[in-house]
Amino acid sequence: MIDQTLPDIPRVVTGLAEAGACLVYLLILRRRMAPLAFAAIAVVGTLALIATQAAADLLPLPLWTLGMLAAVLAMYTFLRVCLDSTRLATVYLTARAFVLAELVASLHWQLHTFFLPHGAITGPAIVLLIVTFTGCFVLAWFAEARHLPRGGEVDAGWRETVAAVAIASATFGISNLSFTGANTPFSGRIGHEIFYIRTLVDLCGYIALYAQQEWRREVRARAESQAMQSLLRSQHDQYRTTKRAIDEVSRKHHDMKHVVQAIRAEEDPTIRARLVDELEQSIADYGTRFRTGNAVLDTVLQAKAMTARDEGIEITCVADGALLDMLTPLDLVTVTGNALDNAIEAATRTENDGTRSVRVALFAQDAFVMLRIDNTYDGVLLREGDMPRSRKPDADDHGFGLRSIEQTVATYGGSMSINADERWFSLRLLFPRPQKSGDSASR
Amino acid sequence: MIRIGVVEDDAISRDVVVTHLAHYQADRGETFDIAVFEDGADLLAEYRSNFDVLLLDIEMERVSGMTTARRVREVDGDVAIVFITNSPQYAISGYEVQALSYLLKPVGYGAFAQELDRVMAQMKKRERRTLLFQADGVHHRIDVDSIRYLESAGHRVLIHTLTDTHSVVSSLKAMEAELDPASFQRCNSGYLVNLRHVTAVDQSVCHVRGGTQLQISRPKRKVFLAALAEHIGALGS
Repeated sequence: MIDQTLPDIPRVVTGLAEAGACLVYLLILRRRMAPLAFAAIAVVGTLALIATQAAADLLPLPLWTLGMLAAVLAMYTFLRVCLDSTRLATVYLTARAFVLAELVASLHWQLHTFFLPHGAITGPAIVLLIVTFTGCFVLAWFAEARHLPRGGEVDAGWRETVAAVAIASATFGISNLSFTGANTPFSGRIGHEIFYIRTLVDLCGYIALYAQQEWRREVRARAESQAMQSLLRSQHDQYRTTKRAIDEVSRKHHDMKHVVQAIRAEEDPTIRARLVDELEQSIADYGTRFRTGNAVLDTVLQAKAMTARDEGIEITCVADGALLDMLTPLDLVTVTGNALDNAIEAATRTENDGTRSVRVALFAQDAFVMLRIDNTYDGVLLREGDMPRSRKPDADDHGFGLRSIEQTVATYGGSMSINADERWFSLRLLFPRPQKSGDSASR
Repeated sequence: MIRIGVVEDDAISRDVVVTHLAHYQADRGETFDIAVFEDGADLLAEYRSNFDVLLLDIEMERVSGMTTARRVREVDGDVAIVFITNSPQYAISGYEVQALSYLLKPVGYGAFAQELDRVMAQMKKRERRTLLFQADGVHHRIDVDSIRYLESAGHRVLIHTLTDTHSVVSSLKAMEAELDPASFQRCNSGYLVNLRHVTAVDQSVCHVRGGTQLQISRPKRKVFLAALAEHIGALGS
């Protein structure tokens, strides 16, 4: 057991450190309430955390872990009440706040026992407390504000949360090993070194969690840049389409001038009528446009249809575009652009005998929205797990874009399925329909 | 015999379609009963749900193809409708009449035959299936489509249809083996759901026609949703 002359951190200080750590995150992220209400809740929260620690102090030693769990639960509740984020994200933040609190409390106590060996609560002790806490938490705030979304929401998946909780538990376990009195290779026995070990271990834990968040941010940034690239690519396609359309219109204009002159000069009404018919025929193609009711979808379809036509592929589309209004333009471009690129590429692998085709269907069924993209293909499908694999040589870069489609669809609570026979490949994306429609009972 | 209605006001385009149909019959060894109409109004005048497939031109003088299709759908939910059009912007609202694709003029034989293949395959799939079982000493034969879901209850299985519930001595596993896995999926270990009657899914609850809500278990969720996507996606394909 710890030496009598070296008292451990007073519970009040631990409670304060926990409150401070929570506040670091609360002051960065988006809160549920107005500043004034938040200030009131922050005071209550701080007092509650100190009270929890004080109550835990009354528990007998064997129940020490229980006391710590209560403290963690109190921190979680504090964060959950104030923050506008999911339960999972709050667990993630609790793990981070807990390690930060441990680190600051430990560092402060290490300094305290060094400068004020007798541990009484005196004036200098309070000054030291205020200086260390303020210094550490302000530093932590700046460090965290760098990589957490200011005034935003943290999102954490299961995997990251489990990892963060594991890191926090391990840090806490190892840093407190010396205090259990157990004689292990990882515990110190001499006075101040115990405190130093604890601070160091807590620091390592904090750095590990910090690095994890940094890595998460990088992964996210990479995903975003990929989406942006595909958007840019589609914009580039669109630019080329427009340019080609302009060129074609000016060429047509040139041709039309001659026909109009001929019509003017023509005396015979039957020939004149034939010329007018011809003129109408020659511009008939320019009227064909996709009008689905969703401007982004129309643009993507128009651009892809141009590319497809060069390959002898006709894209047909039967769609109530308004059903996809719930998707952000970026997501809509990612999903439809990728899917159509795949479909066109696969269709070009078949013989160009007038049967190459890509069909888009978008309709609602009960409370679902179905986007289906079918294409003819050569019947060869390489699979990798449950996903078809790209046949391009640099398959890693392309990966069919299916993963990215699946991820995007999943963020809207939807799902993806693939169906193929020897002639048709069919990609089916199912979305829940946003507003509940009352006609779900009829069919 | 498959009954096909061709509705087209332009004589040349009509000849093309009729020639393609003759070619297709010779090719695939099918026999069609073909009726030709010069306008949507002519078809509607004597329509008695007596066709399997309608090949509809969209731009027609008196009654357009889209109007014709809407009127046909009011009385006939089963006939397959294929639009043939000059300009796709009219066909784009085909979803209203469950015509999920169309042919563009001039119609080449390859594309035409391919489309007809799809329609034929779709018609074959639509054959009604029935389920035979014995409940309370009485033999029952019910339309599989009318089953909403099956529920495991001890040594019995409850078959919930749109109108009744039957209790059968069997196991869910045995019943599952008799039913088409493409339409019947387990949302959790105790329930086998007919996907055609799933009206909504939110979070982990599956809404079945008739107001029933069933829990979707976490391990089954992904497979269940994928099967649902596949099932709904198969409509009109």
